[in-house]
Amino acid sequence: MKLRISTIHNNRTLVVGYIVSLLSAAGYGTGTVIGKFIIENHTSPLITTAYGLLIGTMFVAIAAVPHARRDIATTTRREWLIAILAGLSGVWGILFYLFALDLAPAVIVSPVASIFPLFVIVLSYLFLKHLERITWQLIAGALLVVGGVAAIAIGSLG
Amino acid sequence: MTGIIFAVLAAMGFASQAIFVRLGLQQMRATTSTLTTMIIGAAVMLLVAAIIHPNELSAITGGAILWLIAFAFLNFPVGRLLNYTGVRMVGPSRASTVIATSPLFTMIVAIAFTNETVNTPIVIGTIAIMVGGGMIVSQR
Repeated sequence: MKLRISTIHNNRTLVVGYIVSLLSAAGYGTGTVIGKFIIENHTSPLITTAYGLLIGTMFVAIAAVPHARRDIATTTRREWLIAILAGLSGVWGILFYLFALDLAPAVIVSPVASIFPLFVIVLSYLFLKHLERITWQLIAGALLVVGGVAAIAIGSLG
Repeated sequence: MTGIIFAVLAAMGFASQAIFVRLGLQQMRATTSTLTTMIIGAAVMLLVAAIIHPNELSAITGGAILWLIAFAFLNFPVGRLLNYTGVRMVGPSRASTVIATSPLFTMIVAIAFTNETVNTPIVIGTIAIMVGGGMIVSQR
């Protein structure tokens, strides 16, 4: 009986987790189109990034504040430095994403920017010394990603 | 082609952020590390925007603010926080594979509500990136 309840609970967690992940994908995907709309009709990528991050920070603060004080109190100087670098990298990403949306259709920019897992692998390999295991899956995935970008580049010319 | 190069540069920024978070912010909750990096990002961008485009920054209209709220809401609480929730509930491999489908949503919304069109190479390329990205994250 206990086992059955546990299985039902695990299945429910799995289903909810998949739904939540799908909603996240829908959020990112729809947000891209709205970002392009703002750039085309209202303001520049720079201003969109600045206001987007400011408003986004307010939204995230609602969820983060209850625990943030304790976390921040125990943050070391090294972690602060890394947080600054992470923040600047995020700015770099969002800014170039919006610059790209200013110049190309969302249906091209969104998939091309989705190649970032490939860069995570490369950067991990170069800087973290966490040698990624080279498997057939990794090689096939990388080839598909590179081939996909090439196909989109060809498609964008037509 | 410049748009594609900028999208690749964006991907490098997102990847660097993921590496930095993995490198040093593992002790923080996901919401705290997101908030910290976003406060830093917002402060830097507002400063840069105030220096380069002071008039544009202050001349933002009410209509634009409403769209910016929608943009920020979809990207941060919906996109990013649900991303972390999904990872916590089903694990990074499964969640990342599902989240990798976001270009498909972009394609559906862009075709349905804007004048964007796709051709066969773009559809094939999008599917290849989604499947390839899914294979990369699921093997880690």
